Amino acid sequence: MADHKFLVVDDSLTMRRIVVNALKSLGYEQVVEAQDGKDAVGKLMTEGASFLITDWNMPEMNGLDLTKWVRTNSQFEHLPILMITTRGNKDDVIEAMKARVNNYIVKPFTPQGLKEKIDQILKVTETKA
Amino acid sequence: MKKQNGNRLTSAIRLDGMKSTSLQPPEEGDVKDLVQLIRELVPLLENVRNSIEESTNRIPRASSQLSSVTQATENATVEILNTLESMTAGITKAQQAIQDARRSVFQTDELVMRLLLGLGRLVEGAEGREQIASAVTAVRNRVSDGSRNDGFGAADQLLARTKEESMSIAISLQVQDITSQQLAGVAQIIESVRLQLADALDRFEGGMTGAAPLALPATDTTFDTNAEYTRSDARQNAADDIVRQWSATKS
Ligand SMILES: [Mg+2]
Repeated sequence: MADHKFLVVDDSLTMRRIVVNALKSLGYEQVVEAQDGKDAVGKLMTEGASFLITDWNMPEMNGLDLTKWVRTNSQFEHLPILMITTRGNKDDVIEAMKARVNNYIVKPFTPQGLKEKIDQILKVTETKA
Repeated sequence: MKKQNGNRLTSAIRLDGMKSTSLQPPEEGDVKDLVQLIRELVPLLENVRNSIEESTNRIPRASSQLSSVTQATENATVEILNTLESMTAGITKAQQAIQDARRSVFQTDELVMRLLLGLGRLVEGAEGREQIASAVTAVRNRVSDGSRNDGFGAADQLLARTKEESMSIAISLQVQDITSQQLAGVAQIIESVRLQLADALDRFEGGMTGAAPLALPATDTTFDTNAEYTRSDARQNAADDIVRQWSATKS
């Protein structure tokens, strides 16, 4: 559990802090932050991560494009991705799944919801690995 | 007055229609009416132009007010988060202190028990031994209780609950991200209205006669105009259904 390194990407400083605090309360101490997709790409290249949590609506590079970038990059192809976004339309969720996010949370999230999704993703990705 | 103008306008249209359908030249009275109508229309149009100009000039102020609301809310939210984080850190320290205190009481109890047992071996009278035996039992009970139901346990539970409550306040602060996206949506609408008005103003000045009307700006993906702050599970449940179905077809 403790050896997972999270990259939390959101253009809202408030959201980043809330997600980081929630992760810490779940026992995940290693967390890196990025303010948009472009910043996240840089952080992935320099610092790496074993779990990506990303917002969708962001300037520079949005979360959907970030997901597509990650999935086409052989180095991070299998990186678990959890999208946390305000976009709750059916079409949005389908678009995100097509881009190959592992799971999807509609804001506002709850700590239990976050834990549930992280556990689900890790269960699947760790049994595959 | 308005009605009169309307009548004049219809007669002017009729006049124009007559011109195009029949080649009859307009009569002198009709031309006079038309000139009068134009005379009355000019100040009216001037008023409209001034109103548009005034509204166009006011819009940037409205937009900047919106963005300062967003900024102020974000600042306040960050302040609340700072306080909550320092509260949580304080609670964690207090919980640690409680654990330490509980451990040292436990160790003291053990020490007292050992002393009492040692003392018991030295005491000779039955009454004295009995007293020591009941003291040993009392101390042993305290120790084996695991201190779960002692004052430390109650304080620890209270702190844990307070920690959870401060986390729940932090979670509610997600409203800031959601409302700021809604405000960004409103600002975008206001900006498109400003562009349309500026375009109309240009047409008044004759600057863009015949130019195509302005298109609305492309959908911005930096914010979600449909963002919603709700405690209802409906949207999450719908998303979960899609994720489940999708994963089932892909596995
Ligand atoms: Mg965002």
